[in-house]
Amino acid sequence: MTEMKHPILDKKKIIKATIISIIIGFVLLITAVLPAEFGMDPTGAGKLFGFSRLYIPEGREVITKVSGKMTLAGIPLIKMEKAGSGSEVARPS
Amino acid sequence: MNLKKIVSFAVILILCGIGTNVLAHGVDGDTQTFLTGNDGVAFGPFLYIGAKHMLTGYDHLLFLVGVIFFLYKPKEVLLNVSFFTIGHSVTLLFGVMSNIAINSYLIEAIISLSIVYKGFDNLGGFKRFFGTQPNTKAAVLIFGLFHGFGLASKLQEFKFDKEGLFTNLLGFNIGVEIGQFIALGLVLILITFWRSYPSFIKFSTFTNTLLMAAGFLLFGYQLTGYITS
Repeated sequence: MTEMKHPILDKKKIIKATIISIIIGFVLLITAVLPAEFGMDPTGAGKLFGFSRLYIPEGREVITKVSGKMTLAGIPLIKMEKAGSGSEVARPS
Repeated sequence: MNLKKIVSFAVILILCGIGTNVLAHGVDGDTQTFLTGNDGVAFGPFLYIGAKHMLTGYDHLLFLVGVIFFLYKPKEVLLNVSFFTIGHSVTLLFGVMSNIAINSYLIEAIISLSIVYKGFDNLGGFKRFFGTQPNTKAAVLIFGLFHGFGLASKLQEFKFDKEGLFTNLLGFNIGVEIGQFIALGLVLILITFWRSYPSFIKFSTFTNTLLMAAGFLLFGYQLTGYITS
């Protein structure tokens, strides 16, 4: 007995569990993961919940809030916290 | 220590984990920065990177959780984890040293299927449908091989100096084992505690269903990544 005693479900329950898990996985995939990671939003849920805002296109045009379009091709994303000199660099007094 | 305290502690730990994962994208940028500026042997840094990869590698962790879910004897836990370690170490070393091209989407898709497999197995799926229980330790070893290729592909994504590669790789591998040890310790503590309650068995079907769901979700994610790349 290498395992704890646990129920071995009957076939119908196992099939039901597998189908439920496929459904859960699929729903989460198309409502959250696809909008956030790939910019695909077949159900519109990405826009609704805001997951789509997480999508960063690579090398394509992005409309910024400020004005006009900005191409991201080859430009690395710089975060504010990472911009500027490190703490060891003397600052002007 | 009562249930509420332990559960709150676990929730806080998990939230911290999720928090660091969210930052992980930026931290990987830092890792690349270090690697770009690094020449030659850097055993310590690679040790750290390896441990971090394992601790933030939810695909590996989910598989391990599935594997030890119903294992209660320390010997069994050790044996299964050792087979997993041997499997992933072999392909990690081989994959990086031979520099073979590993499509990370494909390999991660297989890894996510390993999670589905284990959840299904925990439900008794193989016994019920196929009349036989596939050798768990062999399965852990074989899936370990795929996990190792996954680790190798993650390391290959970084551009780094090939001088001192083997030493650095050893450091990375040992780091992975350290990360695995820490993660496993945490999981074992939580799961041993949970097992003292009837809810463990009562919810075992639900939990393993969720495990399979996570596997399917990851599978869909990696497959989409592969198709769109």
